Amino acid sequence: MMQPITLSALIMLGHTSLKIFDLVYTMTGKGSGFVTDVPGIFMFETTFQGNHYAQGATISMVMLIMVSLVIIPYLIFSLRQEVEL
Amino acid sequence: MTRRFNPARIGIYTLLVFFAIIFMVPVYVMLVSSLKTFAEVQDQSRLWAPPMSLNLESFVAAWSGIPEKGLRGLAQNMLNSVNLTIPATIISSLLGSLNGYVLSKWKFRGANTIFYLMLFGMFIPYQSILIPLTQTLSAIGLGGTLAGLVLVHVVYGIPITTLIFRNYYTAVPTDLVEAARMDGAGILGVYWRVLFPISLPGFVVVIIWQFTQIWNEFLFAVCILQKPELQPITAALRNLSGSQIKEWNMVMAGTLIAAIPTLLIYIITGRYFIRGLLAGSVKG
Repeated sequence: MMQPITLSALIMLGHTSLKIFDLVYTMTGKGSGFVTDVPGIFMFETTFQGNHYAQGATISMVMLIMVSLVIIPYLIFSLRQEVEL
Repeated sequence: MTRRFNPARIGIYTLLVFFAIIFMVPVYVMLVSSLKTFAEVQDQSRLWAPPMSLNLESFVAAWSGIPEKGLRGLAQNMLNSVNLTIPATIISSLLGSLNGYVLSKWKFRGANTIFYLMLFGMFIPYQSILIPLTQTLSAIGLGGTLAGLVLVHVVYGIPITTLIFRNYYTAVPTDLVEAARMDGAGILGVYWRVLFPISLPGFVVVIIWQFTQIWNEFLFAVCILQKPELQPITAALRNLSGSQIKEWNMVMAGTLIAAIPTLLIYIITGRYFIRGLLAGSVKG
């Protein structure tokens, strides 16, 4: 009974932590020696503070692909399950 | 009642209380720090100690700023947050409710596929749409304005509001819709006369959710609004802590001020929240 809800919770938390930005950015930034650098901050600083728009766009695309790898199978799985119901 | 004090239950409660305390520790530090004076808050050894005297200066300073030190208060930013959150919440809830209604009660070919495509909008990392987003906003003349930020939050609120309302309306018997159609109501008539009046629990959930999300949102706010006097309170809080000497008592006071509206809305409508969540998700 716990299996479907655990999967949903894992997916939710997984994609949230993959794209976390605000807490890390306000508390430590990328940190000394990049210890708290996350993709979200990397993209933001490259694009809006370094003005390297092309590089920033590339980072954001990599983030999108990483999230899609988890999310798209999950959505297709949910869609199929709903059709069966 | 006889099993009330068995060891397993005591163990569970001990564990729960332990984690509840861990969860509340940052709130405690925030509260005691905000009540200290600047001299006291700098003494790191007294971080955990309660304040020596109750001192509300930090709240005044966080609210109205210290002009001679070049610090802006949060008063204007609080107003910006209200002006941003309330319209965005209302518009995205209404749109989500209409979407959820059509996707659950007027199912057309491919409605499910469209719904899941919309859900993808909930999961995409917002960084991946930031550059086109800022360019689009400046192209339509909304760049750097609060109205532009409202538009962004409405658009990115639609997936989650649609999801909640679709699940909520799926639980409503289709007979109700069919009866209204027999009586000659059109697609909007059914919505307005039948489903809208019974959607209050759904609206409570969506409004709490959207209000909290939009109020706490940070990335869009700092990317779209650069002028400090236009920024919502989350972005302004960062400026408050961004100066050279961090006045932690003031930062903590500002954080508390920023947290009050979401706390209030949760306390006032919280009991409907749980009820609405159950109404939307549990079938039968």
